[in-house]
Amino acid sequence: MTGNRLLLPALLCLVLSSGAMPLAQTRGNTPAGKDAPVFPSEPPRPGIPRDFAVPSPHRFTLDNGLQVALVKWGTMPKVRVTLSIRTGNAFEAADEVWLSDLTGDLLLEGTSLRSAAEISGQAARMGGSLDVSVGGDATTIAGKIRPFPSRSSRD
Amino acid sequence: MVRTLAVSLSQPQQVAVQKFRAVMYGDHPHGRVFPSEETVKGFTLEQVRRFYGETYGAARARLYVVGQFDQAGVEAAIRKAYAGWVRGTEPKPVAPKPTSARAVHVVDRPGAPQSTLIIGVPTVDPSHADFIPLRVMDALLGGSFSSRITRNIREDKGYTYSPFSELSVRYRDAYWAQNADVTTTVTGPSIKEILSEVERLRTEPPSKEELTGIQNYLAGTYVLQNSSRAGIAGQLHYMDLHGLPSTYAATFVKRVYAVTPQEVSEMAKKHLQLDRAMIVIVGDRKIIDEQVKEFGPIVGGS
Repeated sequence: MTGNRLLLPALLCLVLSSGAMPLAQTRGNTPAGKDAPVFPSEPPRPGIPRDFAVPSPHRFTLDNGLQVALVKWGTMPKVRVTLSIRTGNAFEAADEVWLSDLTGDLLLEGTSLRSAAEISGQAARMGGSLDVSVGGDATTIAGKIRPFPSRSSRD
Repeated sequence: MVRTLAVSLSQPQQVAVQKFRAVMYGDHPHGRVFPSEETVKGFTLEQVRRFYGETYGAARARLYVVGQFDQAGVEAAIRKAYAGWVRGTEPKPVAPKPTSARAVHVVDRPGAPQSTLIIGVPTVDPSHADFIPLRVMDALLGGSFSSRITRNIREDKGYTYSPFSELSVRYRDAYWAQNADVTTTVTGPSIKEILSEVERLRTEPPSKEELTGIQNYLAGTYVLQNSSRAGIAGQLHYMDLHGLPSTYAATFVKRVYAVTPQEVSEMAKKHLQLDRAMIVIVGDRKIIDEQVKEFGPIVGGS
């Protein structure tokens, strides 16, 4: 599919450029023994749910209309990239039911620049994967990655 | 894809959803859940290219990046990588006009040991001010494990193993539906219990204790479900799609707890209009027709 040539390279390119460093971790080191706490006989009472605090996204829009939201969240050096496009089953004509699904399936089957194996190989070398999900209102292409700098993730 | 279709159509739950959507949405795309095998086999690369050209493009896209990353570097990379992406056309979704009338739509499944039920009505969608109270109402009525309908037809009567209600949501569109696979011989009694639980909630508010338990469940699972990179991306997408204010996520828990018992009952009364409730059953007609005729005119066909 020639129309698809920009999408996946763009995602992969973005993913390659994220340069978060792994954070130092302290390992809990409590061997079981005579000092081990007594196993409680009652489960802990559930806590009171707190308001859900999401850091405000940094939003910007490209000249071509692409709307972007960046959210710095969590402590693990991992990143989720989701590209959501307003296409899917709600946009199919009567004789096109599941054409969205077929189009979505073909997104990862190779582009004019990369074969299917190259796409999944590149995603895997970034410690992640790339998935397409087709819905009614939107189709999403999402990847999770662990962007630590290493030789293999820069090739 | 042909195999996926065949597998789906062998599952009574999928057949029931197909029937439910077809009746509610008619000719709208939401009413077409499954293609024919001929349609799938007839797809051409040309069709895919045209569909891609018409519906993929930057003007219809949103990109979410969640996690730990160098913000300036990522922004620069996005601007560079996506600048050349074709703008495409703005999305022009066709507004659905869901309709619902009291009738029993039966898809015959001779010899079926269970009847698959969906009982539902169109409701307001997430952009409506009632939607959060409506979610609380749904969780109390049938949308959680400790809900009334689950306690009634699963725990008390033993008619079914995993009933659930849901608010099924799309852009500017939603419906409430109770789903259950019930033993064939108790198809009628199951529908009767479901309808009576809806009616009870419409006429009397729940106790404060019952509501608090549901609020804890809904608020707690909301925070859990969204406390991940994928969860946050999904929640932002939900807010953007439905045009919700930026304060939506941060105030969700507070708004769930602000719902009163009276309000729960009002939501059921206002949005779950039983005289419009549509009943879909996939089951053995020769056994169930007699049991279900009291709930409305039976509409057959497959």
